[in-house]
Amino acid sequence: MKKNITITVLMICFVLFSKPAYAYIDPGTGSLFLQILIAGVVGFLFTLKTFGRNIKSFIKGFTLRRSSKPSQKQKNDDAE
Amino acid sequence: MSLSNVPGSFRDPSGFLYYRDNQLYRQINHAYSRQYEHLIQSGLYDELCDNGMIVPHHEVNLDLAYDDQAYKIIQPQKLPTISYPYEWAFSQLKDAALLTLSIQQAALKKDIVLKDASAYNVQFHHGRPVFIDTLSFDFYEEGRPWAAYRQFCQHFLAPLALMCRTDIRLNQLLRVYIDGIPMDLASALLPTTSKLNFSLGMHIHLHARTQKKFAAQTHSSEKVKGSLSKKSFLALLDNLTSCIQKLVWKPGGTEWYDYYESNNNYGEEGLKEKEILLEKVLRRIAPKTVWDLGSNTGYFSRIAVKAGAENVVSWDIDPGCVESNYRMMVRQKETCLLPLLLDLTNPSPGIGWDNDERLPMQMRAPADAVLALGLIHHLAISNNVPLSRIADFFCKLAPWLILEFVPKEDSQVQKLLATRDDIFTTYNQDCFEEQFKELYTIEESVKVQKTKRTLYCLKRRKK
Repeated sequence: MKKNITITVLMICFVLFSKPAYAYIDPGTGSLFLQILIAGVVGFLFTLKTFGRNIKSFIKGFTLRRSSKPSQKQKNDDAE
Repeated sequence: MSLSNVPGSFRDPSGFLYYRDNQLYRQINHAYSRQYEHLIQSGLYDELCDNGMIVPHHEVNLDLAYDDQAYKIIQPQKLPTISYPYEWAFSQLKDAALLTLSIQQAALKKDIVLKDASAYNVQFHHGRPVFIDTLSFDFYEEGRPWAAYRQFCQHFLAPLALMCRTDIRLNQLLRVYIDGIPMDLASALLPTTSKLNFSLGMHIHLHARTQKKFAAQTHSSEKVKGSLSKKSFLALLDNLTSCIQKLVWKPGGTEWYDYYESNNNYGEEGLKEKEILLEKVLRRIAPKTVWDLGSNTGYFSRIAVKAGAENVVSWDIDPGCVESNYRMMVRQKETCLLPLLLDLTNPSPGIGWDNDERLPMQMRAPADAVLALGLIHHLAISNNVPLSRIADFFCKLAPWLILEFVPKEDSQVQKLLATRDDIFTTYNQDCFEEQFKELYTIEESVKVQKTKRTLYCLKRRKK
């Protein structure tokens, strides 16, 4: 009897206080917790990967700017 | 005025697809109005459209609404052929998975999240996968885990891993499990060595165990909010992407894969002759949609494209052939072909609620013409299907039929009869013509030189 009342109260609370979610599919409780765990593990590696990618594109941009400078100098010399 | 629901479109309260006067529309309900406007105004829809990643649509008059729940009505671009994940080759499912992940990655930049990650949200158009569920987008709340993660693993990751690591035929489990392969089943079927792979170990094996552990408990994604930052979400998507990219299956060793190389009973001249005859017939009939049944790697499907067909569906039973066909199509950037997996003796049935959510193969018809080349002996001899039943079946699919009759004297039929009693007393050209004339008129019949076969052009009789 006590157990039934507890379950009923919990269900009422759940219904009253949970925000209506647009997730019309069942996300699966285990799946929700698991992705947090996985993301925690791969997160660090992902940060390194993104950092590496940003360094790479910075260097690429830097070398492109450097290689375009001599031709500018050449143009100035020609103009003189 | 005719109005009818699309049977498979009912789960999402945001809206649904329906037919009005044979035109397909999507109703966007009031409850989804803010999400839809955000999708458009954020620029995500335009970005995905420009990249060919989502099916384009245009907004139409509200008078065309299905009911008074309508906020807006949109008309999506009609796709010529609907197909399902259990009809796709390995690389088709892989490309559909990668598309879903790319869309989620692009959407997250604009604070948008996909509500679901079903393989049925993807179709193939002009040779490439395209996302069709315009109502799948929702507001992203920082910290909230991805509700579609479980579905993604079941619809995409599990079948791909199973096809790659266990057996290519296991995608057929998608026919049995309408919401993707359950994680515990995938975990049980994968080889133990797959547990050593970090991503598969986490997304499949550990996933199966956590599902079991939490089975009795219910937490909404609302309750675990605050636990998955945007960066972590991106890391998760990135990990899923590289995991799927690394899953590779090489065709080869399946039953029909090297048929033309090892069984060329035509010789090169016979093949060329058949090609010329076929192209001539096709140019005369000029069908726009062609179904090539038992197409192998799509050699003759490409003749149909050459002859002017705009939409050729290249069906075959062998996963290696369909995979090769698809890879060739992608490499050559072909846009008029769709390779699909099909066992004609057991074609895709209607499945889902009331067996109505996913259409049976016959209901994806009609085509303008069906090609049945080098096929009839497999149905009549290998599978004991009477010629009249074969005619009946083809009749449902298209008004025109181009069929190659393969007589008993042919070397392929001799191979089929080598290990069994010849009970096929009515399998001969005269009986074939007699049976087929019940439902068709023989417009033309030409012997294929250098072979014992005859090419028929048949037109379905009007009832």
